[in-house]
Amino acid sequence: MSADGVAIELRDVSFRYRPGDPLAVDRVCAQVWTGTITAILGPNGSGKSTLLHLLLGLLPLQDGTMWLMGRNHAAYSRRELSRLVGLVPQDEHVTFDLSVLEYALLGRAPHLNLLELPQPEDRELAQTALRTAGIAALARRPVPSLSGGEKQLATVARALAQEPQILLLDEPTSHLDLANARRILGVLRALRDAGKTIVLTTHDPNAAAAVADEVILLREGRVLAAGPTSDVFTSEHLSATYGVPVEVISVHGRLVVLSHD
Amino acid sequence: MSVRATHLPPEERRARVRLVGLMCILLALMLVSLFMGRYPGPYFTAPQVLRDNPLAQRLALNLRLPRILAAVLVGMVLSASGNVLQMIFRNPLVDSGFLGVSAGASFGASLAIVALGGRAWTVQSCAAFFGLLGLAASYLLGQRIHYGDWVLRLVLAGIAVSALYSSGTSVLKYMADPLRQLPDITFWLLGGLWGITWPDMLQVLPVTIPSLVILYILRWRLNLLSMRDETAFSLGVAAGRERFVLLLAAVASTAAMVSKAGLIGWVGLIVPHIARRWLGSDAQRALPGSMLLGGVFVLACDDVARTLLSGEIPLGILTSFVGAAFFLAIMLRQDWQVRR
Repeated sequence: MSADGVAIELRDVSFRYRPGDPLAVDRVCAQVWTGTITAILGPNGSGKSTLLHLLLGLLPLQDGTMWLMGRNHAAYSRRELSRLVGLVPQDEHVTFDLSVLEYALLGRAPHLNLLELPQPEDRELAQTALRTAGIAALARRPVPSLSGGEKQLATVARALAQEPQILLLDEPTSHLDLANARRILGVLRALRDAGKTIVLTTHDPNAAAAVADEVILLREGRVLAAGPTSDVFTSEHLSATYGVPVEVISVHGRLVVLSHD
Repeated sequence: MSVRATHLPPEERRARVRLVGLMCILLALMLVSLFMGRYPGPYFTAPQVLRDNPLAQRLALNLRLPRILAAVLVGMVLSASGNVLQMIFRNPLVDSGFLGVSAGASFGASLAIVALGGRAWTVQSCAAFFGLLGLAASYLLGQRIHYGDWVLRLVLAGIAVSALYSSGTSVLKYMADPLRQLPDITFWLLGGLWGITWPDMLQVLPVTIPSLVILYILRWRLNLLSMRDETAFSLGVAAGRERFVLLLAAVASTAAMVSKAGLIGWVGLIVPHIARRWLGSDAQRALPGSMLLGGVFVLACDDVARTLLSGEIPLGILTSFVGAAFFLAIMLRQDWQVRR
């Protein structure tokens, strides 16, 4: 952990997909603290996924600087990055009938060289990851046969087997029903309590309100507001983010976002 | 090894036992095949005949043995390549026959026979070049077709590319010298191993053995490469580079074997399918399983091809018949689903 508790720092990060396109990410400055859950919240097309892919290194940084754990993002090799940052993509597609355990074992790849096969220790770690995600009982089931929620948890387990300090999740609850979304968010809270830094994107303010310690509001690639959820979640901020009138109310101590016609 | 093996989950232990069993079956079949043939008598040559008859000895060592090895290699290469192509293209319904590789290789070989003098190395390199070109064309076309999902698009593109190549091969057949060149081309399209000699084997071994070793060593990585790029990248995998190495090994070894054996259809599709059923889809087990099972399958077909009738049955006809029949049989079963 870095001494000042900042896991990720973005300074004036900009990105456009093609020359001449508008900026998908526009001079974004933001900080993510270690051991917190940070939600990047915004409407569709606001640059959330782009930002996540920049953090992952999948997209090249064009402008600005990014710091991970106190070290310049550019100084990490791809392998080092994959040991530090795990990804749970929005729509993981597993074509072949790998069992859940075999699938989670793929998360050990960053710790193996090109010619190495997973060892019993790797298998142990994959099994631990399944337990952490609460799906140890599914270890032998083929991934394509899982329900949406189970598959999402399997993906979380696969990312956890990487032993990352930072976990990125792209719209982790968008395809899930209420019960499964709760399950995922519960696992994320437990991971945060265990010291992991979690960054998730979502277009659903209620999902962010339910789980995030910190929120970064994005609109058209720009940060509208950032900070602790209770400070950022105001009717004014959210209305500006989504471009429709939004009301934030507190129910039993929880923030709930309502949109009015 | 034994200490670790006790910690393995039951399915993994079962798969290991099955792999060893397959290996034993393959070795036993290779040994038995040495005694099978049409000389001195049909079907089976008794060991004492082989001991006492010097002509039978020479026949077994100089004709049967290289042919047995070639059959095993053809089976291993086609099945391993089929498995690799299926995983890399995330599509359980493709093999080198479906992706324009085989059709491209036979077009290249026909071209070399008709236009380039037909020397062994020109035939092989032409086969490899047009095989790779066929694969690239199928892939690029598959990305541009606006119909169906990825599985269907790639298969459709492969069919179209293969058909184009086939029509090109037909033109070459039409142009070919009916006495000198046409028999060579016809051999290609039917597929068979009757002309295989030790020098042929020595020509293909430098390509096929390293390719098979590369595929075997990198087999677990195939699981990673069957994931989307986003996931593979997040796992630190240089997906483009690794896919290229594996595809090159798969296509080069296929083209090398096809340049000697002609078109041997359906092996690359059906064998990995059965291997996944028996051993699970994890390529760490399915790939060696495909190799061994492919060796057994093609060798058994070739034994039938050279022993059953007094004349030779083209091997490609047999593998296609058995493969397609098997494919239909599992498709028509009630619990059928494409084993991925």
